[in-house]
Amino acid sequence: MLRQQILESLLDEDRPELFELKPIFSQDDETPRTMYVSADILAVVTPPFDDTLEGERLGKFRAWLDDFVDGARLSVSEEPRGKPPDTMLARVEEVEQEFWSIRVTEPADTSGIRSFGAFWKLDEFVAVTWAMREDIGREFDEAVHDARERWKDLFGAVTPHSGDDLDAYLTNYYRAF
Amino acid sequence: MRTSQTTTGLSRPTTDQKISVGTLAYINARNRQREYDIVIKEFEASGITQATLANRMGKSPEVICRLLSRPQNWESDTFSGLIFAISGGVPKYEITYPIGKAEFMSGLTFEVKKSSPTVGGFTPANYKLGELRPVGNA
Repeated sequence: MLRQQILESLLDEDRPELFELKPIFSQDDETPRTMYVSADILAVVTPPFDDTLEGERLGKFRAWLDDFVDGARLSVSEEPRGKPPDTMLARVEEVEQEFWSIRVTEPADTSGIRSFGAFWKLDEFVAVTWAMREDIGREFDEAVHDARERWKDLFGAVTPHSGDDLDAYLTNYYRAF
Repeated sequence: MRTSQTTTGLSRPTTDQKISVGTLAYINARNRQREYDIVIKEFEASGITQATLANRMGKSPEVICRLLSRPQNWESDTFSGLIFAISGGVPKYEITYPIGKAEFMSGLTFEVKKSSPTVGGFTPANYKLGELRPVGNA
Protein backbone atom coordinates (compact mmCIF):
# COMPACT_ATOMS: atom_id res chain seq x y z
CA MET A 1 0.00 0.00 0.00
CA LEU A 2 1.30 3.43 -0.88
CA ARG A 3 2.27 5.82 1.86
CA GLN A 4 -0.64 8.17 1.20
CA GLN A 5 -3.09 5.28 1.01
CA ILE A 6 -2.06 4.20 4.49
CA LEU A 7 -2.81 7.65 5.84
CA GLU A 8 -6.15 7.75 4.07
CA SER A 9 -7.08 4.38 5.52
CA LEU A 10 -6.29 5.64 9.02
CA LEU A 11 -8.53 8.63 8.40
CA ASP A 12 -11.35 6.59 6.94
CA GLU A 13 -14.62 7.54 8.57
CA ASP A 14 -15.79 3.96 8.96
CA ARG A 15 -13.08 3.13 11.46
CA PRO A 16 -10.85 6.14 11.96
CA GLU A 17 -7.59 5.86 13.85
CA LEU A 18 -6.58 9.44 13.09
CA PHE A 19 -8.56 12.64 12.71
CA GLU A 20 -7.77 15.70 10.69
CA LEU A 21 -8.15 18.53 13.15
CA LYS A 22 -9.90 21.61 11.83
CA PRO A 23 -9.53 24.82 13.83
CA ILE A 24 -12.49 25.78 15.97
CA PHE A 25 -12.39 28.97 14.00
CA SER A 26 -10.09 30.05 11.25
CA GLN A 27 -9.33 33.20 9.30
CA ASP A 28 -9.57 31.39 5.99
CA ASP A 29 -11.30 28.34 4.64
CA GLU A 30 -8.04 27.00 3.25
CA THR A 31 -5.53 26.34 5.99
CA PRO A 32 -1.78 26.45 5.34
CA ARG A 33 -0.99 23.41 7.45
CA THR A 34 -2.58 20.12 8.42
CA MET A 35 -2.71 18.42 11.80
CA TYR A 36 -3.73 14.81 12.28
CA VAL A 37 -4.40 13.66 15.83
CA SER A 38 -5.12 10.39 17.56
CA ALA A 39 -8.45 9.73 19.21
CA ASP A 40 -6.79 10.25 22.61
CA ILE A 41 -5.79 13.75 21.67
CA LEU A 42 -9.05 14.56 19.94
CA ALA A 43 -10.93 13.62 23.09
CA VAL A 44 -9.11 16.15 25.27
CA VAL A 45 -8.93 19.05 22.82
CA THR A 46 -12.58 18.96 21.87
CA PRO A 47 -14.56 21.65 23.71
CA PRO A 48 -16.10 22.43 26.06
CA PHE A 49 -13.05 23.21 28.16
CA ASP A 50 -13.74 23.06 31.86
CA ASP A 51 -13.68 25.93 34.28
CA THR A 52 -10.65 24.40 35.96
CA LEU A 53 -6.89 24.63 35.66
CA GLU A 54 -6.97 21.43 33.63
CA GLY A 55 -9.55 22.97 31.32
CA GLU A 56 -7.34 26.02 30.97
CA ARG A 57 -4.36 23.86 30.05
CA LEU A 58 -6.32 21.87 27.51
CA GLY A 59 -7.69 25.09 26.04
CA LYS A 60 -4.09 26.22 25.52
CA PHE A 61 -3.27 22.85 23.96
CA ARG A 62 -6.10 23.20 21.48
CA ALA A 63 -5.04 26.76 20.71
CA TRP A 64 -1.54 25.48 19.89
CA LEU A 65 -2.92 22.88 17.50
CA ASP A 66 -5.29 25.32 15.83
CA ASP A 67 -2.54 27.92 15.50
CA PHE A 68 -0.39 25.30 13.79
CA VAL A 69 -3.11 24.54 11.26
CA ASP A 70 -3.71 28.24 10.68
CA GLY A 71 -0.07 28.69 9.74
CA ALA A 72 1.04 30.63 12.81
CA ARG A 73 4.68 31.54 13.30
CA LEU A 74 6.27 28.82 15.40
CA SER A 75 9.48 28.84 17.37
CA VAL A 76 11.30 25.63 16.58
CA SER A 77 14.39 23.96 17.96
CA GLU A 78 16.27 21.13 16.37
CA GLU A 79 18.24 20.71 19.57
CA PRO A 80 16.57 18.21 21.89
CA ARG A 81 18.58 19.63 24.78
CA GLY A 82 19.41 23.21 25.67
CA LYS A 83 16.47 24.84 23.93
CA PRO A 84 14.74 27.93 25.32
CA PRO A 85 11.98 27.00 27.75
CA ASP A 86 9.25 28.60 25.66
CA THR A 87 10.15 26.80 22.42
CA MET A 88 6.92 25.71 20.75
CA LEU A 89 8.15 22.72 18.75
CA ALA A 90 11.33 20.76 19.32
CA ARG A 91 13.03 17.65 18.07
CA VAL A 92 13.40 14.85 20.58
CA GLU A 93 16.09 12.24 20.85
CA GLU A 94 17.05 10.24 18.96
CA VAL A 95 17.05 12.85 16.25
CA GLU A 96 17.29 10.34 13.42
CA GLN A 97 13.95 8.88 14.51
CA GLU A 98 12.32 12.15 13.36
CA PHE A 99 10.05 12.63 16.33
CA TRP A 100 9.07 16.00 17.71
CA SER A 101 7.57 17.43 20.84
CA ILE A 102 4.71 19.91 20.73
CA ARG A 103 5.44 22.13 23.70
CA VAL A 104 2.54 23.88 25.34
CA THR A 105 4.31 25.99 27.92
CA GLU A 106 1.40 27.92 29.33
CA PRO A 107 -0.24 28.66 31.72
CA ALA A 108 3.02 29.92 33.19
CA ASP A 109 2.39 28.49 36.65
CA THR A 110 2.13 24.97 35.26
CA SER A 111 4.66 22.63 33.72
CA GLY A 112 2.66 22.57 30.52
CA ILE A 113 1.69 19.82 28.12
CA ARG A 114 3.76 17.78 25.72
CA SER A 115 2.42 16.01 22.68
CA PHE A 116 4.60 13.77 20.57
CA GLY A 117 4.46 12.98 16.92
CA ALA A 118 6.18 13.43 13.60
CA PHE A 119 5.83 15.21 10.32
CA TRP A 120 3.99 13.42 7.57
CA LYS A 121 5.26 15.87 5.01
CA LEU A 122 5.91 19.58 4.72
CA ASP A 123 3.46 21.42 7.00
CA GLU A 124 1.61 18.20 7.86
CA PHE A 125 2.03 16.74 11.33
CA VAL A 126 0.71 13.63 13.04
CA ALA A 127 0.36 13.96 16.82
CA VAL A 128 -0.03 10.52 18.37
CA THR A 129 0.33 10.94 22.15
CA TRP A 130 0.04 13.65 24.78
CA ALA A 131 0.60 14.10 28.49
CA MET A 132 0.77 16.71 31.19
CA ARG A 133 4.47 17.47 31.52
CA GLU A 134 4.51 16.67 35.24
CA ASP A 135 3.11 13.22 34.49
CA ILE A 136 6.07 12.56 32.22
CA GLY A 137 8.51 13.63 34.89
CA ARG A 138 11.96 12.16 34.34
CA GLU A 139 10.59 9.48 32.03
CA PHE A 140 10.76 11.72 28.99
CA ASP A 141 12.59 9.18 26.85
CA GLU A 142 9.96 6.60 27.78
CA ALA A 143 7.24 8.96 26.66
CA VAL A 144 8.99 9.43 23.33
CA HIS A 145 9.42 5.69 23.02
CA ASP A 146 5.69 5.22 23.60
CA ALA A 147 4.97 7.70 20.84
CA ARG A 148 7.23 5.85 18.43
CA GLU A 149 5.49 2.59 19.29
CA ARG A 150 2.11 4.23 18.71
CA TRP A 151 3.35 5.43 15.34
CA LYS A 152 4.39 1.90 14.45
CA ASP A 153 0.97 0.62 15.50
CA LEU A 154 -0.60 3.05 13.09
CA PHE A 155 1.79 3.20 10.19
CA GLY A 156 3.74 -0.04 10.39
CA ALA A 157 6.98 0.30 8.50
CA VAL A 158 6.15 3.72 7.11
CA THR A 159 8.54 6.18 8.69
CA PRO A 160 8.05 9.87 9.45
CA HIS A 161 8.93 12.58 7.01
CA SER A 162 12.60 13.46 6.86
CA GLY A 163 14.33 16.47 5.37
CA ASP A 164 17.69 18.14 5.03
CA ASP A 165 16.74 21.26 6.96
CA LEU A 166 13.82 22.89 8.71
CA ASP A 167 12.48 24.29 5.46
CA ALA A 168 11.66 20.74 4.48
CA TYR A 169 9.35 20.43 7.49
CA LEU A 170 7.74 23.77 8.06
CA THR A 171 6.94 27.12 6.61
CA ASN A 172 6.66 30.26 8.72
CA TYR A 173 8.90 29.32 11.59
CA TYR A 174 11.83 30.82 13.41
CA ARG A 175 14.64 29.13 15.22
CA ALA A 176 14.33 29.33 18.96
CA PHE A 177 17.51 30.73 20.46
CA MET B 1 -13.86 9.40 3.10
CA ARG B 2 -11.76 11.31 5.58
CA THR B 3 -12.80 11.95 9.14
CA SER B 4 -12.35 15.57 10.13
CA GLN B 5 -13.15 17.19 13.41
CA THR B 6 -15.23 20.14 12.32
CA THR B 7 -17.69 20.96 15.07
CA THR B 8 -16.67 23.96 17.13
CA GLY B 9 -17.87 22.68 20.49
CA LEU B 10 -17.80 26.22 21.77
CA SER B 11 -21.07 27.89 22.53
CA ARG B 12 -21.76 31.57 22.26
CA PRO B 13 -22.32 33.22 25.63
CA THR B 14 -26.01 33.96 25.94
CA THR B 15 -26.67 34.06 29.67
CA ASP B 16 -24.92 35.44 32.72
CA GLN B 17 -23.25 32.10 33.28
CA LYS B 18 -19.49 32.37 33.77
CA ILE B 19 -17.39 31.47 30.75
CA SER B 20 -14.97 28.71 31.65
CA VAL B 21 -11.30 29.53 32.10
CA GLY B 22 -10.63 26.80 29.56
CA THR B 23 -12.64 28.59 26.89
CA LEU B 24 -11.03 31.92 27.67
CA ALA B 25 -7.60 30.28 27.63
CA TYR B 26 -8.29 29.07 24.11
CA ILE B 27 -9.65 32.39 22.86
CA ASN B 28 -6.88 34.46 24.44
CA ALA B 29 -4.06 32.18 23.34
CA ARG B 30 -5.22 32.35 19.75
CA ASN B 31 -5.50 36.12 19.93
CA ARG B 32 -1.97 36.40 21.30
CA GLN B 33 -0.63 34.32 18.44
CA ARG B 34 -2.45 36.43 15.87
CA GLU B 35 -1.14 39.66 17.34
CA TYR B 36 2.33 38.19 17.35
CA ASP B 37 2.07 37.02 13.75
CA ILE B 38 0.93 40.46 12.64
CA VAL B 39 3.83 42.18 14.39
CA ILE B 40 6.47 39.73 13.17
CA LYS B 41 5.17 39.84 9.61
CA GLU B 42 5.28 43.62 9.67
CA PHE B 43 8.71 43.65 11.26
CA GLU B 44 10.20 41.30 8.69
CA ALA B 45 8.59 43.17 5.80
CA SER B 46 9.99 46.46 7.09
CA GLY B 47 13.60 45.33 6.91
CA ILE B 48 14.51 47.31 10.02
CA THR B 49 16.65 45.88 12.77
CA GLN B 50 15.67 45.26 16.36
CA ALA B 51 18.15 48.00 17.29
CA THR B 52 16.28 50.49 15.12
CA LEU B 53 12.98 49.40 16.57
CA ALA B 54 14.43 49.77 20.05
CA ASN B 55 15.56 53.31 19.27
CA ARG B 56 12.20 54.26 17.83
CA MET B 57 10.37 52.95 20.87
CA GLY B 58 12.84 54.30 23.37
CA LYS B 59 13.44 50.85 24.79
CA SER B 60 16.52 48.74 25.22
CA PRO B 61 17.38 46.14 22.57
CA GLU B 62 16.93 43.49 25.23
CA VAL B 63 13.34 44.53 25.79
CA ILE B 64 12.62 44.49 22.06
CA CYS B 65 14.28 41.10 21.69
CA ARG B 66 12.09 39.76 24.47
CA LEU B 67 8.93 41.30 23.00
CA LEU B 68 9.60 39.70 19.62
CA SER B 69 10.71 36.36 21.00
CA ARG B 70 7.32 34.68 21.28
CA PRO B 71 3.58 35.29 21.55
CA GLN B 72 2.77 36.81 24.89
CA ASN B 73 0.23 38.82 26.76
CA TRP B 74 1.12 42.24 25.35
CA GLU B 75 -0.67 45.25 26.66
CA SER B 76 -2.77 46.95 24.03
CA ASP B 77 -0.37 49.91 24.04
CA THR B 78 2.58 47.62 23.41
CA PHE B 79 0.87 46.04 20.42
CA SER B 80 -0.14 49.32 18.81
CA GLY B 81 3.21 50.89 19.67
CA LEU B 82 5.12 48.08 17.99
CA ILE B 83 3.06 48.31 14.81
CA PHE B 84 3.42 52.05 14.59
CA ALA B 85 7.13 52.03 15.36
CA ILE B 86 7.82 49.35 12.78
CA SER B 87 5.98 50.82 9.84
CA GLY B 88 3.75 53.70 10.86
CA GLY B 89 0.82 51.32 10.67
CA VAL B 90 -2.12 51.09 12.97
CA PRO B 91 -4.12 47.95 13.66
CA LYS B 92 -7.42 47.52 11.89
CA TYR B 93 -9.94 45.91 14.16
CA GLU B 94 -12.65 43.64 12.97
CA ILE B 95 -14.88 41.36 14.96
CA THR B 96 -15.88 38.02 13.53
CA TYR B 97 -18.47 35.63 14.87
CA PRO B 98 -17.24 32.10 14.22
CA ILE B 99 -19.86 30.55 16.45
CA GLY B 100 -22.74 32.76 15.38
CA LYS B 101 -23.87 36.30 15.94
CA ALA B 102 -25.77 37.49 18.94
CA GLU B 103 -29.40 38.30 18.29
CA PHE B 104 -28.79 42.03 18.52
CA MET B 105 -26.16 41.73 15.77
CA SER B 106 -28.48 40.04 13.32
CA GLY B 107 -28.13 41.62 9.91
CA LEU B 108 -25.38 43.96 10.99
CA THR B 109 -21.69 44.05 10.29
CA PHE B 110 -19.35 45.94 12.50
CA GLU B 111 -15.88 47.13 11.83
CA VAL B 112 -13.62 49.61 13.55
CA LYS B 113 -11.07 51.35 11.43
CA LYS B 114 -8.44 53.69 12.71
CA SER B 115 -7.04 56.60 10.79
CA SER B 116 -4.46 56.12 8.10
CA PRO B 117 -0.88 56.42 9.31
CA THR B 118 -0.12 58.70 6.40
CA VAL B 119 -2.52 61.38 7.57
CA GLY B 120 -0.42 64.24 8.83
CA GLY B 121 2.69 62.86 7.20
CA PHE B 122 4.07 61.28 10.33
CA THR B 123 6.36 58.32 10.19
CA PRO B 124 7.89 56.58 13.18
CA ALA B 125 11.33 57.87 12.25
CA ASN B 126 10.40 61.54 12.45
CA TYR B 127 7.53 61.39 14.88
CA LYS B 128 7.92 63.47 17.99
CA LEU B 129 5.41 64.20 20.64
CA GLY B 130 4.16 67.74 20.21
CA GLU B 131 4.20 67.71 16.43
CA LEU B 132 0.61 66.56 16.27
CA ARG B 133 -1.69 69.12 14.79
CA PRO B 134 -5.42 68.99 14.40
CA VAL B 135 -6.58 68.11 10.92
CA GLY B 136 -9.46 70.25 9.72
CA ASN B 137 -11.62 72.07 12.19
CA ALA B 138 -10.63 71.34 15.76
